Amino acid sequence: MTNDHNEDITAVEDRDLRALFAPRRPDAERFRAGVVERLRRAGGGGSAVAAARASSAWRERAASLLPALPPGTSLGSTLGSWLSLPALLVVSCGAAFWRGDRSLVAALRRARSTMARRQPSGVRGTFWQRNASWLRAGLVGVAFGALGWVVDLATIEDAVLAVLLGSMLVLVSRIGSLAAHHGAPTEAVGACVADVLLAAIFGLLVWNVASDGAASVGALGPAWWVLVWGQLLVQTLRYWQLHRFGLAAFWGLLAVGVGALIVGGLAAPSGRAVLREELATASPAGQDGPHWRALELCGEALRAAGEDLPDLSTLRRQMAAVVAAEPGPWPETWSAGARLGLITADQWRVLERTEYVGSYLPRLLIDRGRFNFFGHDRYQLEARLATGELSEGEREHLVARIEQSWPKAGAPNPGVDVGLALLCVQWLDRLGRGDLVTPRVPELRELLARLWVAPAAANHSRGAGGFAARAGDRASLLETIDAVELLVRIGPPPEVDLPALRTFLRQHVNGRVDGHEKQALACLVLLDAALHTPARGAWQWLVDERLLVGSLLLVVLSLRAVWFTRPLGAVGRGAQP
Amino acid sequence: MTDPLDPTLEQWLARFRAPLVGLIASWGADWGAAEEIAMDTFAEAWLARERLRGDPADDHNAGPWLRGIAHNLHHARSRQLRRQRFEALPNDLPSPVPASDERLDVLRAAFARLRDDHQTIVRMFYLDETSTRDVAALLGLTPKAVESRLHTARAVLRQHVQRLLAAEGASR
Repeated sequence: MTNDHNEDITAVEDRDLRALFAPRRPDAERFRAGVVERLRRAGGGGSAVAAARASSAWRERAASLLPALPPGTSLGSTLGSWLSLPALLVVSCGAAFWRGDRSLVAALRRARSTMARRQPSGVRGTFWQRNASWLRAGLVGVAFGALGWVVDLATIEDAVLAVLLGSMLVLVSRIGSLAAHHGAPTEAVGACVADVLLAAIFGLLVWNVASDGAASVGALGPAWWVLVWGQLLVQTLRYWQLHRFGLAAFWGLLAVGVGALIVGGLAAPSGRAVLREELATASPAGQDGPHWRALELCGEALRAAGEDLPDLSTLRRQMAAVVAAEPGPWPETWSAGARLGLITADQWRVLERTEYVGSYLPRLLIDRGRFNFFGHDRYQLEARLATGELSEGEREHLVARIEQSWPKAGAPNPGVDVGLALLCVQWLDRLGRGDLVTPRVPELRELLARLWVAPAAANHSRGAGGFAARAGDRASLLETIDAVELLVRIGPPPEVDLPALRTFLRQHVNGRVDGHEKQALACLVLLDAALHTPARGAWQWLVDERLLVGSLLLVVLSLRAVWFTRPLGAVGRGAQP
Repeated sequence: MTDPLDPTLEQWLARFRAPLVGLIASWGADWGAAEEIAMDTFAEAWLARERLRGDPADDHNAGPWLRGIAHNLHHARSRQLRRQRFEALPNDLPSPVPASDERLDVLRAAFARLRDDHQTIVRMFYLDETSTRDVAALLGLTPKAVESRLHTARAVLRQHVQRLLAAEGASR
């Protein structure tokens, strides 16, 4: 190699490096075709992630143990539904509680009558001994929570319920053993019960965090709080039995506080009065799209119930302030403002001069073909109508674009279908062409039926009873809200189980504290007002609320275990014959 | 006839295809697997875009979104390969064998001596006609930082080339 050549190569030019990687360069056309093919496959049968979920080891194991249920089987309608995993777990929990309670109470009564006189040791033990229950519970809880990474999170409710069932059995077995060998004094039984409850509490906490919160909060939240409440009650009762009244009062006060929170949460706000108050007093920030969407739904729910809207002057002032203060890309806010009639023509003109609205709005009447935006951009038509009359030609242009935008089965753009369908329906109604919606009703109902996640389908316990963005996915609150608005307009398909849908929404009212909770509440009222959803039966309620029921049973069993014990010092005090 | 895709997805493909393949290859996937994972990534990212907070056309949103999904898919594939370590999985895409060229051989050997982070930035930038802005979006850096790293990587690469050539000269 010559020196010249060496100097040349040491320069390390860009073209050399590109030549170095040239054989590895992905071919643009082949790459694009690969992506298109994957999207097409996902449109037919779910994404790679969904496919992985569907074939998870957990589900395969469950499927090998349980009889197959036809997809879409309605819970309570067939014998098969009684054999579904949620139903089996509910029955098992009830049976475990009944049998466990009988054997536990009998063992404790026997132990009380025969317990030999013992004196408390008075030795407080080392730090590790004193805190052993917390450490054990923490370790078990973390291990339990780690299961969340292994088990398919779609079955989280059933997995947690199975663990609660196991906790009951462990509790009964350990206390039975204590009663047989050590007389089951309050000290030992209290510690054992606290261990079990703490493990469940830690486990649910870790699981909730590990499962990325949002979807699981609604399902796990109330059950977790009931377990915490149960732990506080157990501690209160335990120290009461031990005549340590100061500690009993401390734990009792905590129990009262948490109990008040739970009762407040369970008695979730409902009814139109709450919506009216929300509309009359709320003043969300401009970027708080979920809250504005909730307010829009509040208005729709009240209208569906045949009520006038309350005085919206607070909201109007807030909207004026938002529009005046350099607004950002907040389509949900503008859509809510448009639907509630909060934005004046002058304010729309101000918004048209902003970067976000200004870049989309002029294209509404210029572009051709299907709409390239989604449900949250509903404000655009209102903005156009507010700032000037549409000519007949412009109306026809919009109608033609709407007709091209209806979601199509198998299109390589799934995941936005409900929002897009809602937009088409609402805009046709707004343009006075509701007659064009009528022929679409069968296919829209078919769309809703396809995206409906039936409670009994494939043991899809969490995220069931609502609508999914894509067939095969879990139900999501946002899709469900759009779907409710749509089915209120076109009527529900027979596949949709309205009580289950109501349960799904109510779970989110219980579990969330942000704008989405308010959306779920408004949607619940809208559903009730527009469709008069029937009340759930007792069995349906049990299955829907099985996690809450399981945690309540565990707490009651724990309390009864402590109730039937006596402290060591209280047994056989004084001379015995 | 090609299937129409949403303009945003087309934009993602045009801008992030090569740097994403380079990034995945930097995590340890071979080139064929990196390309497969990148295709999966774009499809998954597009199907799940409703969960993406913010404008999908914005670099600051799309870059981390694609990188996160690619990372998860790469890990999933690695786990699968570990489980099936006794059965070699054939690649769907054959990796072409680079032609022998003295000049490129030296460069290839010098590249292998670079630090991992320098290799990553060079792979992402030079795999195709890519801008520093796109690389920056995927790595969560500023374009200036990417330019600076590229400059450093090229300087180090040049030193390695010089050393290799010197060693080669001495051995003759």
